[in-house]
Amino acid sequence: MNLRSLNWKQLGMGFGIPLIILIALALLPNYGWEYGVSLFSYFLVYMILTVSWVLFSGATGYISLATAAFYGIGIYAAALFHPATGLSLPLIVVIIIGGAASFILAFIVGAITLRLKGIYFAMFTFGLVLLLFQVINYVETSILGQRGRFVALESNETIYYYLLGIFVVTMMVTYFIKRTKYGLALQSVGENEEAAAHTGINVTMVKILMFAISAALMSAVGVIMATKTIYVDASTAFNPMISFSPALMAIFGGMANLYGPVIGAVIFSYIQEILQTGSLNNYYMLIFGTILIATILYLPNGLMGLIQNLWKRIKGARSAPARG
Amino acid sequence: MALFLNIFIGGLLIGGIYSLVSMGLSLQYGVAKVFNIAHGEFMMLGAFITYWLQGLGVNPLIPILIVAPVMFIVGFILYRTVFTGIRVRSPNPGVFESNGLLAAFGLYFIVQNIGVLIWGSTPQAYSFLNTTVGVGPSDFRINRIVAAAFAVGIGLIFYLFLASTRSGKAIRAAAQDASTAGLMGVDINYVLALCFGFGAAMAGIAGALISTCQQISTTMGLQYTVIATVVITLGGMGSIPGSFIGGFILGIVGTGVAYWQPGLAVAAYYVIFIVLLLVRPKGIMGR
Amino acid sequence: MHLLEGKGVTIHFGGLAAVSDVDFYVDKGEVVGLIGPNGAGKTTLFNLISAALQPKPGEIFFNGKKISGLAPYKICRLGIARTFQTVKIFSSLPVIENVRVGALFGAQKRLKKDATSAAKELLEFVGLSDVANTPAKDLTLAYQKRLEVARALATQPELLLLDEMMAGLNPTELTEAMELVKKIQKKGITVVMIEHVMKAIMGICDRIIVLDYGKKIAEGTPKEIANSKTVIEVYLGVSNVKSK
Repeated sequence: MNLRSLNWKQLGMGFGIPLIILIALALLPNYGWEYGVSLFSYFLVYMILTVSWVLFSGATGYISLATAAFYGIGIYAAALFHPATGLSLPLIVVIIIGGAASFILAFIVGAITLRLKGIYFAMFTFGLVLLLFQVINYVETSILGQRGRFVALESNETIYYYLLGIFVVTMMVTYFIKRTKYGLALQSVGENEEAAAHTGINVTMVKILMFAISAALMSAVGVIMATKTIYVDASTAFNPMISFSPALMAIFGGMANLYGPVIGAVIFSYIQEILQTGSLNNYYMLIFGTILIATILYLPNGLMGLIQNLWKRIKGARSAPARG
Repeated sequence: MALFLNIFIGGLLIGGIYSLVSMGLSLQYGVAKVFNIAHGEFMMLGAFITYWLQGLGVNPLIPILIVAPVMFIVGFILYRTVFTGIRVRSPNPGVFESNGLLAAFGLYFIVQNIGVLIWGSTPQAYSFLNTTVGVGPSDFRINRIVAAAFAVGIGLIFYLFLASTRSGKAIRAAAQDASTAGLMGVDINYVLALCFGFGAAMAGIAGALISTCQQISTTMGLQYTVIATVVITLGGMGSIPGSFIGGFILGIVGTGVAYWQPGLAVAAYYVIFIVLLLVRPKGIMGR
Repeated sequence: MHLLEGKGVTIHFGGLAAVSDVDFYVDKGEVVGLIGPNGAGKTTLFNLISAALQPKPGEIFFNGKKISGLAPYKICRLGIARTFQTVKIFSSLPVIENVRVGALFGAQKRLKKDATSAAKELLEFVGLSDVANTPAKDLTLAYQKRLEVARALATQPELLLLDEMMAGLNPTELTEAMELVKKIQKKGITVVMIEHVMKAIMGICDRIIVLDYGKKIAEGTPKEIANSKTVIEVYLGVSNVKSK
């Protein structure tokens, strides 16, 4: 591949714009806009969770409702290894620990359920957050006698940079998977599992690995967010809403490409932020649930799908011959 | 001996309610093909409506007559509007299952939010038939016996309905092969909505019954949905008798585990779930 | 040693024996036809060979090695490829990507650029070069069937199982498809084909196996099968058999 054969325009569009946005985001804390840093951190959390969710569930069609379980593992990793008092490991190490724990759990869950039809996987994952809650709550209260733990507080800036870093890693992972033969394998599995298996793809292993990778990324986010909310116990760590929001954001945004989930995440985390601090605080589960059902019914390809359809129609109208 | 009786009979008593709620989910998933994650929330609604009416001085067993039709209508309408809407827009059954699952997930949050708005989040309880009766060396609360009796009774009535009436046959046909049943003259949209409605009604009744014998809270739904899930897998997807038997089995296991360590019931159910998925996903009576 | 051999292959669905105690073999270089009335168990037999299903009881051997019990992807990597009665292509992927999947994950490990050139060659071989970048779902059925064959060939099989490849083709397409199978045989690949189209079976096959209600009822050359009283009875009914 020589330099002249590269399609510079495509490369510029593909890399240039995101790079500029990334630099702008990286410089954000320098503008002195405290609220902005906090808000964008919030966006990043959901962007990472949503893209990780789409990475597996969007590609394979297996609906995972376990996002909250892996996020919770991350929170607990921070509580155990980055506590407010006592020996505290560096955040990057804790992220790796939390990520590894989730990777292993996801691998086991996948090995049990991904050989079977998708419904078993959905069933297993939706109860997983309740299971982890009960088990960890039991261990904490009955065996260890703990009534909640405190995580070391980190500054908003630190949190922001770690989240940005995790987001970049997530996008890089997604990009590289798409470009390599594993991405092709993943797509084939999503298109037609049986055909993929008969074409030499180890379908079960592909599913398990993708699930485990997405789980590790979700965990990483949990680790960082624990350093913001500081107080951790089993019930705050394992919250079913966190399984729900990324799915809603992905479906609303549209899952045909990567922009959909990102845009969906930004829009809904902003709505969530407004609702949670406003007078409608007690209604946001209701509102989001309704929006999800409405989206499934009326916006099957999500917002991006709608925009693409409109764009096609506009282009089509322009190039249609005039009636004579 | 007393311990064994406590666990065994106690398990059967709660198992009756598990059977009822699981049969409801079996109808909704096995026949109507919607894995209703919000199932437990309907149970919660049934429980709280009963609690509310009981607070107005009504005998807690009466509200069942109200809860059942109300939940049935809610379920029926939901299926006719939301889930049928999803079904006609889904290019194949697999997509319908996924989208139905997600919509049910949305429903879970909607119904739970409604519950919390109306009744708050602190657990509630009331006293009903709280005296005990002795069986051998053990004592059992009468309210549990009554609840179990009702649950079993309703289950049997429904089973007879399925086995002998025309509508029951239509439901069983739809369970085996919905499109062919449609070709045979069964109004599929109506029958599937009927099943979903019955399923919701069963959840509501189970909730009403459980409110008579233990504490309820607006967040109680999820664990019962998990229990129902494990039961229908244990009993075999699409098998009503299977769910019936499975409910009792899980009731005994759950009671046993609760005696040993009260907080680990869900863990025990998951162990059963894992073993099933590894060894025999079809379940005991699965086709 | 036979390339493919099955001993006592049986499988039940519920109470019904879909395939019942079938012994069969396929030798290297042959084109074997598998025929029988609808529901005879032909596709089920393919599913048993390609490991979509496991024989219970019964055993299947490939190059002397027992393959019954392995996962489908392993069977593919050992050198058995197949097409499906209901065409199972990767609809949203372009035609060339469909074939590249086979090239990348089949019997031999391949580098990405080798896979691309192999895919292009195969598209030419089956005659789909012109539509290389079209999404697979936009192809006609006849082209989609050819795409499935190309994808299967990309996995570098020794044995190719074709499931009703000729169904629904018009006379021109049929001739082209028959030519394609002959070309595949010339490449040294052994072929087993399930077919209802008698012209294709009689025209290309070296040997024919006949199934009915899951049992093997006849085996032989096309001429033997065409004259077999048993086979005629099965297809046309007893009263139609002419007495000799």
